[in-house]
Amino acid sequence: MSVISLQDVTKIFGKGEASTMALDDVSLDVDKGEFVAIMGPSGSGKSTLMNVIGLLDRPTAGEYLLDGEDTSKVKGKARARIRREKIGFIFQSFNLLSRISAVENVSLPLVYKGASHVERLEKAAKLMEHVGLGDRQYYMPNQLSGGQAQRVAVARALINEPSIVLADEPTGNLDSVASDNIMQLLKEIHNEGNTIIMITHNPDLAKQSDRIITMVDGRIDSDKKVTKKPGSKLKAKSKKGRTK
Amino acid sequence: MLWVNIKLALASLKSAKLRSFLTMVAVIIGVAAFTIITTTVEGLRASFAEQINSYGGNLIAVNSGKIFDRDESGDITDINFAAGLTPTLTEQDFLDVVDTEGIVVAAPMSPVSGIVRRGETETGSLIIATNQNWAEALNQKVKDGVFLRDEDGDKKTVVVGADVSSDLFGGGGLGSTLTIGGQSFVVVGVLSKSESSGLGLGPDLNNAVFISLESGKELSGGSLLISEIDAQTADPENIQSIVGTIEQKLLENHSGEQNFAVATQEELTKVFNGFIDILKLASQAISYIMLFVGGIVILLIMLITVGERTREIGIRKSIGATSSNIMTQFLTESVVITLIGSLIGLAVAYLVGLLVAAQTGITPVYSAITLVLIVVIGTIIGGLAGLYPAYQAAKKDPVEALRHS
Repeated sequence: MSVISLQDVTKIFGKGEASTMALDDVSLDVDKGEFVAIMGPSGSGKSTLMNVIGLLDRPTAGEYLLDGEDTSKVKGKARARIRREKIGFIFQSFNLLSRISAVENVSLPLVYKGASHVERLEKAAKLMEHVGLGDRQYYMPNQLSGGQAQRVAVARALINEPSIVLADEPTGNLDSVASDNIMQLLKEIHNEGNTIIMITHNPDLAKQSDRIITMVDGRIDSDKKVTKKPGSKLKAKSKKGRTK
Repeated sequence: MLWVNIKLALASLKSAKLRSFLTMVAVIIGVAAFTIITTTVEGLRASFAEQINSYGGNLIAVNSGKIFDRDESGDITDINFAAGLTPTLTEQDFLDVVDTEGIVVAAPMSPVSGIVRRGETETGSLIIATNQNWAEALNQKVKDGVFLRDEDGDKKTVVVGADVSSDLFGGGGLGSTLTIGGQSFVVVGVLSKSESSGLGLGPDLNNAVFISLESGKELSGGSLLISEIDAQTADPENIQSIVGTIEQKLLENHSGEQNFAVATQEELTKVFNGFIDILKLASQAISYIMLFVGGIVILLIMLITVGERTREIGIRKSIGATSSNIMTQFLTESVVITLIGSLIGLAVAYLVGLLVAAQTGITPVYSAITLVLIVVIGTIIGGLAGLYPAYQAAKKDPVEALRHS
């Protein structure tokens, strides 16, 4: 069953002469539990695709079904609720609020859900433990290293137990050790049966996913499953079943 | 949720202390001004009430000048204090008041110019020439000795007010002498402290000395003008008709020209309250302008703040905040700033009030209603001023907001 289904989705920014077509007739199906990597040059529409999937933006044309539901019919508060309950966002630049502590950042989505103070901090504390930062709960974001901050962001993305995690260049600002840490966490999340869509520039990281989609000029250029056999040369199988 | 927003607002305030303070300054000044004005004016009102009540409920006062008028039903209108500055009453007026049915005692008050001295010390006291009934007419008590006696009229005796006694004689004075206008007078009486504090319609009786009409005439070159006649009635039920009778008689004496005003203690209170109410409105108007400016300042600075926190708004929306969540957050911030500013303004007003009390003798009156009112006004100003910026924040597009630095 497709959890994410885009049909002929187009997204145009601006008007008239100054308009840009960020997405051009994109169709895409993602099943539950898939780990998808999206690659492509700058301006190819990756982030826009992610924003549409994450309900942060609306298509100019085309249909987007999330869990079988037509998202164009969902407005305002309901959109925010779905975003909160089904989707977790991880950004390249962490996007933590600098004036509150790490654990408060993690618990923030629960504030908007209406959970009580105690409940929020309990859940957030557990997640911080889970990402290995149990002893840094009350640190402020600017007191954390890049890797630590991103782990806080991952914890935050997970607090509402979403089934879909969207990560936009999650390791872009991190060194290799921290990078590995984050990828480890993502794989754990994936193993629990969640769907992950990750934008990356790094082919090595992309290969850790199940499926690599490349985009060029607002269109999907290629869409290949990844086969992982330790030690052997990577054989890429295209979606249509032909081996290269 | 509200508590979270309040904590957030306080955190925002703390993180930019100077800016927060500058935002609040106009509100602080506006609230302080409003509070100081209101409480001081009310203090004035309370002061007068105390003073006039000390004269007793049976007082009838005849004042020079048309300080008010009466309409058809006899109610007081057209209050005009300036009219009362020049003495217009005569001895005949006084005698007629004494003769009026229902009047028990009456005393005239004539101001006399001159300097009151003891040795080298001058007191700047008011000199009032009056008769032996004065203390009774105004319900004032004599602490030491006696009040003036008509039979001593030519003997240059003086009765001093409580403050004169403490300034010149350390609290006593009976039997001592002081000079008035160069002439020597013997103190035969010291008055108890009077509630009169120099405000309202009457002179400061505590800083006054009282001499006989004869002595007064001598010091004034032969003739005295009466500025005020005070009387006590034994018939309070009919006090209004007694007032009417006096008015008629005096009108005759003054050939139909009403350059005087006759009133009971109750009516005088109303007159003064009317004056106070106008004073209060006029002076509060200034503070309203300041409060308005305060609101504008908050609106402008919140707009800037919202602009600076665009990215934060994007992040919050991306993790599930709705537009109304964002609106509430920023509105709360405006209200919190205004409330804190109001409280500081109240504190400032309290301190200034202490100064006012020390310097003028008026004690500002703080009522629970005034304080609640100020908090409510503060909240409303903060809410209104913060509406537009909060709305701007709420409608930000999350994708664009996240692109901001």
